[in-house]
Amino acid sequence: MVLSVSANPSLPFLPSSFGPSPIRTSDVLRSQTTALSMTDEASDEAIVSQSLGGDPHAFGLLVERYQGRILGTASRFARNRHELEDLSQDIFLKAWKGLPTFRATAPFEHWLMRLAVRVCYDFLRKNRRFRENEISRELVNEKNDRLKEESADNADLDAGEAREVLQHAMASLKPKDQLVLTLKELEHKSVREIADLTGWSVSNVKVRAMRARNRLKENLIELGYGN
Amino acid sequence: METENDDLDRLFESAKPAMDQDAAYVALGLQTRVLAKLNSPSRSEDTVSQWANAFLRGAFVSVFIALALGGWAWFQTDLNFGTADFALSALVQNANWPSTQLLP
Repeated sequence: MVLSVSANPSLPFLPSSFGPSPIRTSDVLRSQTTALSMTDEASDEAIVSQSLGGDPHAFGLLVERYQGRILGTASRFARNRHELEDLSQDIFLKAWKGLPTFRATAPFEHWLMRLAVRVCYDFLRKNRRFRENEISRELVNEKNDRLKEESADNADLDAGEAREVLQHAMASLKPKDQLVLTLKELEHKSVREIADLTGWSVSNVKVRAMRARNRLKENLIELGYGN
Repeated sequence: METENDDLDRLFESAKPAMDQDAAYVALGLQTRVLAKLNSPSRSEDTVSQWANAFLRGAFVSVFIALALGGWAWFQTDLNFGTADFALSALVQNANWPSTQLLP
């Protein structure tokens, strides 16, 4: 599939103060011409180097290519669509800004996933207090009581309710614990993969994952969701 | 009372479809939104505010360093409080302060 870039007149060029390098209109016109020849089969490195030249449309191809992976991971951290929208955009915007730091010694996908995990971790840290407050308010809601009753006898919760229960129990965990649990239990990453993504040692990840899981169990029981 | 591992695993698995649904919803138009953000003028405003913040931070640090150096110099020289007090009274007398004219 050929990337059609000239079809979108609303995205002529970026401000020179933002992005991998200053962009001039002539650069954009030239890059659009070259982008027309860029296919889906082009290597990540080739697209990255073109993006580094200041071509946001080439970067758009990377977004299209990896949005599934990024959204898959980010959706485990966000509580709703609005948060997920913000979080995924933030990841790609940070990737754009950080492109000059990308070294082709490792695959682009690894670099992007590490960055995504870092942004998700920052997101958890920033929203921690807000989440805790919100959870404590929600605990008095009738809706919550209903959820407790339903889950107390191990009834099958629907996906939305299960997510809500999980979010309640996870909210009081430390951001690092939330990160490890999410990657391990929801993303099914191995300990080594998590260590690679987070930059922590394998033993640290193992210990943290085990403790976090135990804390989560305790939280579920405290909240009345255990049996 | 203990939550069994199976229950916990089942809870994780049960929660996933809702997350996947959100991901599928947000995927629609994500590329366009990201490109629009890259092209947004607010980005340059962000940069301006970053520069302003950096400037303010720099000014604050400069004032702090100047105060620290001034304080250090104050205590290193003879310009201590006693001297300053003496200098002030000398100034008052030399300036022919009105109150001194009342003295006999």
